Parts: sequence; C-alpha cells; structure tokens
Amino acid sequence: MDMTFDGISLNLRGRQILDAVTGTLRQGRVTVILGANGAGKSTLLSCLAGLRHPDSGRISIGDRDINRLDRLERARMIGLLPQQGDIHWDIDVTALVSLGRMPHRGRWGMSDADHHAIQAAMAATDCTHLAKRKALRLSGGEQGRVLLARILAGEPQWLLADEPLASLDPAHQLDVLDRLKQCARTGAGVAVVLHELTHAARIADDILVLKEGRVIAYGPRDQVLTPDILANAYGVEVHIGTSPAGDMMVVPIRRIA
Amino acid sequence: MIGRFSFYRHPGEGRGLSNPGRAVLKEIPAFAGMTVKVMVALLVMTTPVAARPMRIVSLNPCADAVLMHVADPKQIAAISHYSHDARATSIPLRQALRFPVTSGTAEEVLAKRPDLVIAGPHVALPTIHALERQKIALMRLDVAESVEQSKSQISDIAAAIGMPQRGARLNAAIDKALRASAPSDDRLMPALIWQGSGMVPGANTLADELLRRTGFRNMSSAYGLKQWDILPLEHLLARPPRVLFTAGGAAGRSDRMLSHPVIRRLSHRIVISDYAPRLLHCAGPSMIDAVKRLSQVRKSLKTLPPQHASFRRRPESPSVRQDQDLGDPSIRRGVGKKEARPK
Amino acid sequence: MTQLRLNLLLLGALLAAMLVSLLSGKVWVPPGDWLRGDLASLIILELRLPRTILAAAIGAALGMSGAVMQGYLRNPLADPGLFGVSGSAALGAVSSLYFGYAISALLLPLFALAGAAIGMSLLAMLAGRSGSLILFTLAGMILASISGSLTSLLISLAPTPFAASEIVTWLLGALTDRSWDDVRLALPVMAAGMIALAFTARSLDALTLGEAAARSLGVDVRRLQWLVVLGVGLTVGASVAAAGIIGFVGLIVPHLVRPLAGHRPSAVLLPSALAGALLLTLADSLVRIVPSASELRLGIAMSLLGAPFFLALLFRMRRELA
Repeated sequence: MDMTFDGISLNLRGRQILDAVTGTLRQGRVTVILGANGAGKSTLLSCLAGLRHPDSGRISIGDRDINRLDRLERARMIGLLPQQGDIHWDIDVTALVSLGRMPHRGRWGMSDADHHAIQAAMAATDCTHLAKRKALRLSGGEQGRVLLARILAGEPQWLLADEPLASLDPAHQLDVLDRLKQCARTGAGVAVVLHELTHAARIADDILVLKEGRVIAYGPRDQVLTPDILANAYGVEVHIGTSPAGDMMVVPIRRIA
Repeated sequence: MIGRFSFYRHPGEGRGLSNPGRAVLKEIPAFAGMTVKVMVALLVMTTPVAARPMRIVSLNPCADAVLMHVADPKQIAAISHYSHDARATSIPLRQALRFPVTSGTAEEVLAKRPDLVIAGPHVALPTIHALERQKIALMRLDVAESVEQSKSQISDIAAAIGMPQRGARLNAAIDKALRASAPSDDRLMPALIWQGSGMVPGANTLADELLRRTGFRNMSSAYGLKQWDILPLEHLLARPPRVLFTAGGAAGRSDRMLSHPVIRRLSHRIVISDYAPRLLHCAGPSMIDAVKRLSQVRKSLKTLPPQHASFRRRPESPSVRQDQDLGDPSIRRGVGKKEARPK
Repeated sequence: MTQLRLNLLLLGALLAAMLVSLLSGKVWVPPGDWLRGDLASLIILELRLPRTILAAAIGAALGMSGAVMQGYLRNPLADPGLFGVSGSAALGAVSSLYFGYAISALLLPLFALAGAAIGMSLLAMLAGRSGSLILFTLAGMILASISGSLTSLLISLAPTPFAASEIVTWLLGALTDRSWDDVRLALPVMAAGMIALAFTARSLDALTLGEAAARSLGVDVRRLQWLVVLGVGLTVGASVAAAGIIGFVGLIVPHLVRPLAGHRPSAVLLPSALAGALLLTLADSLVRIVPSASELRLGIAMSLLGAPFFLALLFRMRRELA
C-alpha cells in the first residue's frame, strides 16, 4: 500500500505554506524531500504524520484517509522524527527509546516483542553501549542517534524524518542514512527531509522538490537531481559527478545571480 | 462534669432548649443591642443544672478579665494564652500567671475536662465544632459594642458560673465609675481615638460610647468613617478635633502618621494624649480604667481655653490601677500593671 | 535505587511520620492510653487521627499535582497554584467567611469547592480549545491574579479588624481541630483528582520528546489537558477547602524525588504523592511540637521550609553553571 497525498494546501496566517502538493510515498522506497528554507518541507511532513490538517486535499494510506484513522492506529503505522530533538527530562537512554513502543504497548508493562524491538533499534543505531546513560548528558550526535532509535523501536510502516543528520559527525551521518535505506529495504516507506544533496543522492529512490509551497519536481532520483531543477529550487549552480566507487555526488558550486 | 446543653449564636436556634426557655427568650428587651448574639443565661436558670461549674476554661482574654472579678479562682481550670502575654493581656500579669493557659486547640481544652467553656467570636470554627461534638457546655460571646452589652455579658457570665451577685457587684462598680466620669458641663469636646497605623473606632463601637459618656464627641462619624476605618490625615486637618487620643504601640514610640510635619502645624489646636491600647481591647472591667482616663483628660481640658492650648503630650497618670474599687476580698490587690511612662 | 524500593521506603517513612503525628500535640497522651476509651482516646481518635489522615492525603494530593504540573508544562518550577485554582478556591472560602455563611461546618469547604469548580471552568473558557501551553499558563495567571485581588478586596472591606484578621488567619493554612467530617468531604474529591492525574502518566512520558513527537506517538493533547485541569482542580480545591492555602509541597516534592525516581515523569508521580504526604505530616507534627503560645500556621511552616529549599537549588545551579 502506498501513502498518497493529493492536492494538499495549507494557509497559515495569510501565507500559503503548501499549495496543491501531490505525490506518493511508496512502501519499500526512500523518498527524499528537498527544497530551500521555508519551502514547506517540515509542514508537509507534519501533514503526512497527521499532526496538521490541510485546508484542502487528502492524505490516504490505501484508500483510508489518515485523519480519520484511530489515533493509536495512526501512531502505530506512522512514525515522525521531528526536527527539534527535544529531550525535556534527563531520563535513561533505554527509557527514551522505549517511548517509541508507546503506540504498541499494552496497559501495563512491556512484552517480549517490545523489548526485542527496543534492543534491535538500539543496535541498529549503535546505541547499545549507551543504554544506562542519561539522555541529557550525551553529546549532540549521541542524542541524535538515540532519537532515531526511538522511532525505529516503533517499527513504523511509514517513517518520516525531518533533517535527522543535524548534529552527527560524518561517520554517524552515513550510518543513519544507511539505516534509513535499510528500513526501506525491509518494507517501510521512508520520507526524509535533507539538506545535503550528496546525502540525498546516496539514499533516495524518489525525490520530491518543493519551492514556495509548490511541487516543482517529483520523480525517480536520476530524473530529478539535475542541474536545472536544482538551480530552480535553490538558486545555486551544482556540479553532478560520480565518485571513484560509483556513488553519485552533487556539489553546489556558486550562487546563481 | 460535661453537661448536655450548649449555647449557640442565635437565640432560640440551638438544640436542647426547653419550650419555656424559648418563650422567655422572646421577652428579652432590645437593650441587648442590634447585634445580639449572646445567648442569654436565662437558659441556665431554666435548665436543671447541678452545682456551679468548677472547671471553667476560657479562650478569650476579655472573658478572662471578667472571670478574675466574678469567679472563685478554684473554679478556673484554664484561661487563654493571651493573658500571659504582656502585650495582649487585660489582667495584671502576676495574677494571670497563677492560672494555667491553653493555646485554644480542642485537645487542650478537652484535656482540662471542662464543664464550661467560654469562647469569644474569633475562635476557629473547627475548634468550636470539635467542642460542640463532644457536647461540652459552650458559651460564645460577641465583641461588646456598648456598655449595656458588656454589662449584660458580665451578668451572663456570672450567672453561668453560679456567682450572680458578683456580677452585679462588678456592674455596680462600672456604673459608679461611669457616674464619676460624667462631665460636669454640657460641652461635647470633639475627640478622636487613634489606634496604630491610623485605625479609628467609629460609631457603634464601645470606644465611641465611652467617649460620649465622658463628654467627648467622636469625630469619626463627622469624617464619614465606618465602624472601624482608616483616617486620612486630610480629614484631620480640615476639621481638627480638640483631643487626639493615641493608642498606638508602646508609649513613647511615635506613630508614623503622627510624626507627620503637618501635625506640628496643628499643635496649637489639638491636644494629643496617650491612651493605653489595653483599654481598647476589651470591655468589662477595663471600662473602669478607660473612663477614668478619659475623664481625667476631659477635666484637664476644661481649664485650658482652646486658643492658648499648646502642643503637649499628656502622660498617663501612674495612679490608674487595674483592680481598684472592686471590693472583692477574694481577689488579692496586686500592684497593678503600670504603663511605661513616655520620655 | 529501584522504583519499588523507593516507594517502599517512602511508605515506611510515611507510616512512621503518621505515628509521630498521633503523638504530637500540647497534651501528652501515652500510647498505652490510646484505646482506653475515655478522654485520651477521644483526643487521639476524634482529633489527631482525622488530622493525620488529612495531612497525609493533602500532602499526597499536592505532591502528585505538582509532579503532573511539572511534567505537563515541562518545567521543573511549575506549581499547582499556577493554574489559579487554589486562588479561586480560597476566594470561595473567604466569601463564606465574609458573608457570614461559615456557621455550618460544611459551608466553608463547599464554598471552596464551588470556587475551585468556577476557577476550572474559567480556565477552560480562557485557554480555549487549543492545547497551547502559553495560553494555558497565561489563563492560569489571570485567574490567580483576579482571585487574589478579589480576596484582598474582601479583606479590606471587612467591617472590623477582627473579621479581617479571621480571614487572613484562615488563608495562612492550618489543620487545627479538623474532624472526620472534613475527612469525609475532602478525601473522595482528592481521590477522584488523583485518579484523573494518574491517567496522565503515560502521556507525560511521551511529552519528554516535545509535543510534536508526543502527538505522533498517539497522545491526545486535548484529553490530556482536560485530565490535568480536572485532576489539579479537584486535588487543589479539596486541599484548600480542608486546610486553606498550603504552598510549596507541589513545588518542592517532585524536585526531591525526581533524581531518585529516574526523571521519567510517570515514575515521579507515586513517589511525589508519598513524599508529599510525608512532608506535610511531618510539618503538621512540627507546628504542634514547636514551643509557641499557639500553633504555628501550617502554610507559614511550609513557606519557611520552601525558602531554604530555593536557596539550596540556587546554590546548586550556581555551582553547575560556574
């Protein structure tokens, strides 16, 4: 089943944040959402997670409108990793990751399935050794990975991540990207907002480009990552090349006047 | 012995009142005042009661003062803790120290196994209810706002403790003091009593009546003040009284408002006299000292033509004692508590 | 220390404190006489026992409210009084004193509960249907300040200084001479409030990650807001009805137990209730033991305890920031 969004429009305080945005998140594929600052990427993710109601348009999984779904069912299916990695209390890393199981948990205690998911998520993000540490004492990068582990623990079918690489060092950035790709390979539908174009090239199957709330390009990676489209989206001239190992590289060169 | 009747605020409202008792209550003359909340001790006389109470607990310093005059010391099991505090007591301290005190909580009162509890108007409700639940004879007194009300309270207390003749004697002494303090001329001198931080007793207070009876006119009504109110200095300046009685704090410590420079300008028109704060706390026996003081000032004013009066502070005369003229041999004449003399 | 061990420890300490409370008072009643059936057991069973139970219940209710408030507002300085419900409950009680309706033992607590109910409704109306925290906090502050002004107005309009002093004295908070009637009135309301608060536990945990993540985990923020308002309103309303204004318990206690309970908001709830009960029971025993002419007002005792606590907090923060 795919998540389709059709004609999503949202007007906030007089500004048209999203304007007739249409697209599909396919299961088993990674869709990267690109766009300049303020293009509406985070807002689109909020709508896809069911946190915001668009003024018009419909978001559905299969043929079910996600805003009509039971709150917990939606929480089980869709996981959101917001941009601000808030952690308000100095809780154990394990407790924090366990929060991801909330939509699945019964009233009391945690089942074996819960424990298993938590352990797997922590292993996948290289956090197992952090299990007993306090969340607020971690470095920025460690916190980023722990927050990702939280969302992975929920085993969502749709994983929406808003700039998950913010405070990570290059090694961990690659780890997270590869982990997200892995999620898609095991059947989840992944939508990621990224800024680094080479990172996008690394994991994207499909790319959706937003400019001022409108979709200016949507399609498979190679069709969208072209100098023309990127110049239109960002106002920069890019150089697209290939690394010796065969990975696509997209490097911004200069601003276009 | 714990009796099975109690006194309540409103006449006729309580449980356990006999019908004859209720009928008698309806005949009570209106002299008890418009704020009659004192249960008339006629109840006591219509209800069969064995002997006079021998374990009285008082929770009110004004009631303590009355008890000192009308009760046999053996009858008193405890008085209120205020009477042991030099600043709040209405009894000579040395006399008060002979009696144990309670801090007013129900458990302390119960521990004294009282057969009569006398409470003022400001005992916390939970305490009152706790005592009522134990079916202890409880007498509640209001703040006396007139001489008649105070005298009737004295009679009630005396009757409740089985010493009516002592109550009559105290009332007679009060009457005598009032007669002695009545002014010899008809002029009503404008006056004002000024408590700490500007509080002024107005109409319908005991202080108001005492002023009137000793030849003064309480200016507070002229200023438009309520029963208890704060006096703005402007009123004082616009229509200055002849005498200003200050009852603020310890004698000698000047009140902030009275040290205002503008008061000095009035020095040729106003006489400022000390007035012991103790005299404002309670009615009862304190009234005797109060009217003595007031008449003393009144008499001294007669001899001074207004336009030649100068600014002076009149110290309280050391001859005012607390337990004079009461003639009850069972109360030892103490030295009396002297007020501190101003510098 | 594990959750279970912490809670058992606190429970044990609470039971010991309740025992101390039964022993405290200006009258010494030896334990052997407690059940003898005469005056001594009267004092214990009719005066001290209801008072002890009320102190423990109010402490538990306020401690738990404080923990929920801090979890909900994500702010360790939140206090149940922030919602303004304690102010409106106090206004209700003061009105009954002012207008002379306090004759019956029941009327004052009922007025206080009515005041709390009105406060909660006003809060709901002012804060609107959004779950916005800022709007909520502002609405609470408005309510608190309006009730405070009206209460001060009633004090200033009191006909005699004695009436004014009666109101002020009540406001300072006390558990003196409370009876089983007070317990029967307050306990069910507090219990209902605490049940409502208990239902917020899981949502508060999710809020650790911020509101967006919490909502994506399935938290219903509107329902959470209602539960918090209801729970805090009922617990605080019943506490004020029984004892006047008692501050600082809701503020101090969650702070003290949070490091021991592991910082997770849901884990802090039960220890806060137990520690709050412990603190208030001890404070209430203290006000009876302290040698003074009359009992120290309980609200004052808690404020005096609160000041050094804040100083300690300040010094610790200075050290951490230095």
